[in-house]
Amino acid sequence: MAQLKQVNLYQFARRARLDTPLWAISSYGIALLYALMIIIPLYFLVVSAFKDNISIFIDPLGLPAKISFQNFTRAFEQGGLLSALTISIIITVCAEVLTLALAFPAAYAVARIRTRMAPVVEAIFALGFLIPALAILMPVFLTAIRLDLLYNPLMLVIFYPATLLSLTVLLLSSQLREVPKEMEESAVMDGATHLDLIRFVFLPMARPAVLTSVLLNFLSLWNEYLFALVLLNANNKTIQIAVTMLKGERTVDYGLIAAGVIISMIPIYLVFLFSQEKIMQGMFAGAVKE
Amino acid sequence: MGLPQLCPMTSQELIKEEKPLTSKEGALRRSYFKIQRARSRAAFILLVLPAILWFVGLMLWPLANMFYLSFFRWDGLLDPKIFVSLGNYTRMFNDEHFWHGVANTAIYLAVDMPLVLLPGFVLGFFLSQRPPGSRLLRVIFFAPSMLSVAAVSMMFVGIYLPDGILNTLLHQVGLAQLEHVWLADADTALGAVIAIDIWGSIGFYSILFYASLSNISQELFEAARLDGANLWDLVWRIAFPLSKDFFGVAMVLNFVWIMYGSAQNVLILTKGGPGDHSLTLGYYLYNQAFMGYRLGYSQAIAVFAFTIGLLGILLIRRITRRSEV
Amino acid sequence: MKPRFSQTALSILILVSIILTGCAQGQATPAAATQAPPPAAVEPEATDVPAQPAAAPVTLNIMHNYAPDDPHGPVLEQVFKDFMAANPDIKIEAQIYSDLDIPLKVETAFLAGQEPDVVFNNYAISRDTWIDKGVTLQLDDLLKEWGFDGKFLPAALDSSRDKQGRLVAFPFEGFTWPVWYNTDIFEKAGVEVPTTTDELVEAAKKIREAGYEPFTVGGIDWSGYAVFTTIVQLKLSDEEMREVFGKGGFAQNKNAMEGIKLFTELRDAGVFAEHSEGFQADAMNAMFFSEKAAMMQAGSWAYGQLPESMQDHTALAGFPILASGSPHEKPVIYAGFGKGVWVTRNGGQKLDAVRRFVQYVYSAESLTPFIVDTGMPSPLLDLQVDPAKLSPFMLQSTEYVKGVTIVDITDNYVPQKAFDALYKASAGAFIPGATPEDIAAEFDKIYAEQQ
Repeated sequence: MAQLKQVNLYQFARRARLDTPLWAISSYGIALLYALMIIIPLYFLVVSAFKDNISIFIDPLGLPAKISFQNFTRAFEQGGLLSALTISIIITVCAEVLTLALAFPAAYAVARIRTRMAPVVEAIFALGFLIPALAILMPVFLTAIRLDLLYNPLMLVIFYPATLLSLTVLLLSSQLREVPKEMEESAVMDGATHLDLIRFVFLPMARPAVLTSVLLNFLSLWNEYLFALVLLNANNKTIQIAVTMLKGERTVDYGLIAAGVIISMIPIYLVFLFSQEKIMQGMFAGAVKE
Repeated sequence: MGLPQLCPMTSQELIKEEKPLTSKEGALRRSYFKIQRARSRAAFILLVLPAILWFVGLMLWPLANMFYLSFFRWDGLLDPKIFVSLGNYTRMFNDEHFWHGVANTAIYLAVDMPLVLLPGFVLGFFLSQRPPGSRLLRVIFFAPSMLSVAAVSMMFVGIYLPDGILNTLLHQVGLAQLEHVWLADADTALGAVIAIDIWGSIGFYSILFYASLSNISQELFEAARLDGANLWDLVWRIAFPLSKDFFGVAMVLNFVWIMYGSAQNVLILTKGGPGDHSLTLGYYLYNQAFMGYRLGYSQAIAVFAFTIGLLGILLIRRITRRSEV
Repeated sequence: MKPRFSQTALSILILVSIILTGCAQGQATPAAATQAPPPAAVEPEATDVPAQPAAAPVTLNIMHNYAPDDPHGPVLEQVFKDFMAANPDIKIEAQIYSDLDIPLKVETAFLAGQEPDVVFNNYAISRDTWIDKGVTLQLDDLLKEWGFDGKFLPAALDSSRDKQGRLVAFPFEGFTWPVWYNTDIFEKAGVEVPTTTDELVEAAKKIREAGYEPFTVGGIDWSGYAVFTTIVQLKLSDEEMREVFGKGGFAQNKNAMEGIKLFTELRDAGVFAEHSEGFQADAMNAMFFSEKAAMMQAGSWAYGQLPESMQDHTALAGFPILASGSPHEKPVIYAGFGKGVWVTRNGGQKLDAVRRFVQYVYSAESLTPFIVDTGMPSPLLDLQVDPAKLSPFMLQSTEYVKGVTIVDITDNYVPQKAFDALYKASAGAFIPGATPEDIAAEFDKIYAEQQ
């Protein structure tokens, strides 16, 4: 199947048999309408961060009269966003590495070692998709207390990988299955152990899947809310918790909130900026089997 | 040559030329592989063990614990646990808050799933035809999915305020009579929460479907067009049946998200809304555990939600799985 | 393809080092909290102990609910700063939570050995069991040791004693809980500030005609609960209130049912602002402070939030009572000393630092800004503020109490674990269509399951 290139309007219309302008307009119309529905609230968010509270509600969609970074400085001071960002980064990076360290060997074993245990193990990991995190929130909370790790970010670093294993093992194993047998066999002939195989054959070959997993997991880790809410306290909250705490009990300072939300989004957009194309390709090359 | 070496090798060295085998070498090779197989089993266990331990200990064990705790009455962390066998369950089925939660969750599912998956499919199809500007559109559509639930909810706080942007916009286009106190009005609270979900999810699923539909050969569509099919037919008579399995996967994803993920939105925005009007099962679970001092009872709700979730997933897969590929 | 040895090894190295540093970071806080050096000798007869630096720096972990948008927030911040400046060997780390979350946080942290040293907490929503379980300390002896004997208002001390008479906290934040009336709106509507419930209904009608909302309340949360109980108590004497709210049995209690019926009548007569049943307290504040609503019931803790422009036309008074047959003489308010300073088990290991902090909190430099800026009633006998220092509005806040009857607040008598359930029940009461029988049944259910 040939890879489709982006086409010009005429080719598109011809290909989709959009002889009548009606179809062209309506199909583009829906897409543009939805795009607008996404852009307007985001625009409102960004613009509000630079205004003060009063002007936000007088003229919601207008550009700020003068750009002020006051909301941002206040968000950092009052909301403790700097330490929250740091904690989020540390937790995310540690959990990412731990997830890969656990998942890759397992994915390799399941994909490349022929034993009767392999499908069983695969099934066990598949169970993970059926278990909602919300349901085990309380038991995990109790575990943290028992392990004396309550309010300790280490608990999140330990816990999060368990939730990510199902998807990561799935992605990695399906990619690893693609590696041609010949490469493996010749390596074995030369006396490679499994560890060698992993290092020199499979790790490089699995790069797209690894990258995809890293990105998807990063998203899940950075955005996670409930467990961070329950397992951490005010001294070491993650960025998501800090942002929600910007809404006061008595008042709503929307400019402050908007600034906080933007601050929480910056790392994500940075990461994804550098890997946009790679996600789109990698995410679906491995996962979607038609 | 048959012994494992510990020194690192380059991949180039690994791909050696194949020499023809003598029968003696063949026998050696077979016994070599037999040993390898035994070693493989050991290696398999070693490689898989850490991940399995992690998974079992931090996912399956808490799940079992959830079932266990649901049989106890536990009113506070400092209080003792009292065994009440099915007491929590009878309480649950007699609890009108619980039934409100069930009803609201059902409404949520009935409204959200079609409004997300169908437009998502259409937009995904649209994108898969690679119209001009689709790269930009893809970025825009995927943007909300990169935001956290917390961020999106906080963003919508300002939109839903009585003098917030939604009401202001309605006022400006002359629809002032449609203005509401969105999060405080019994009629609109649940809808407002659902709308937030729909807002972001359509984009997410459109990207998902885009990827899936991109794998369908264009020749199929060409042939259909020659037979006189219009765009609508292409989408629903051709693309959709071909994607049934993947659509089922998307349905499962969406279903699971609504059942469990929506609790965060409710927690941040309405805490159940006026009375129980925006109380969902997922939120009620959290509320009873962490705000209501009914830890055992909350686990009974969790068991119920888990069971319903499981049944739902199995049902969806049953309906949509066509293993003929 | 080049060997990836370096990459793999590097990532493992990074993993190990990050986890190790993560471990170190994660345990820094609990270590500081639980392994504080033993306090310097506490002399049993000390009255005014001059500040003596302890042997090693101590960190005091203090939990409170005075967020930055709370008038008390900046004042307490300043107290912390001034205290740390005067006591360089003590560092204060603050944790801010909504006050309803604080008891749960304290209990949870206690289980993990990490509870804060000092908590500014509301007694009503706490647990009577804390002293028995060792979560917090009984403070009677410390009261004397630290020189506070005879310094607190007797009423304040009483509200900080548990059922066995033990002192659970040093009383700190007194409150009165009046109804705030926007006299400008009343003028425009052509009505007087109501003193009876009939007048209230009348006024509500006229206020609506003038284009304003009458009585704004946060139906969902504690502010709605307070209005609900106030109205029910219009028919109950204090003793009856303690009986019914302490043990339940609303459906059987004639006066309680009449009180609930009165509530539904006021609700159906349009006294409450539209959609009140969906509001939380912040929406209530927003409505009143933007002058869209004429009345709200808000406590003295919020005095500092009143916009300056409104201070000359906001009147404080009680909630209107029945025209006849009322168990109370004058319009009613709640008042008391709910919030106090608690010392926990962890704090008990740093008694010297805690003592110095507590003594500073109750000194004139610390308390005066609280009283002047936030209108907080003083818990101390001899700290009265010169009326000339108070703004006219704050002055009014100390004077109006002469024209009201103070009724006992239900918070001290209801089952302590049931607050979330109680708020849900009162939230349901605000929904149009809820009958008195439904409402009573909902409340009785809560008491039934406390058994």
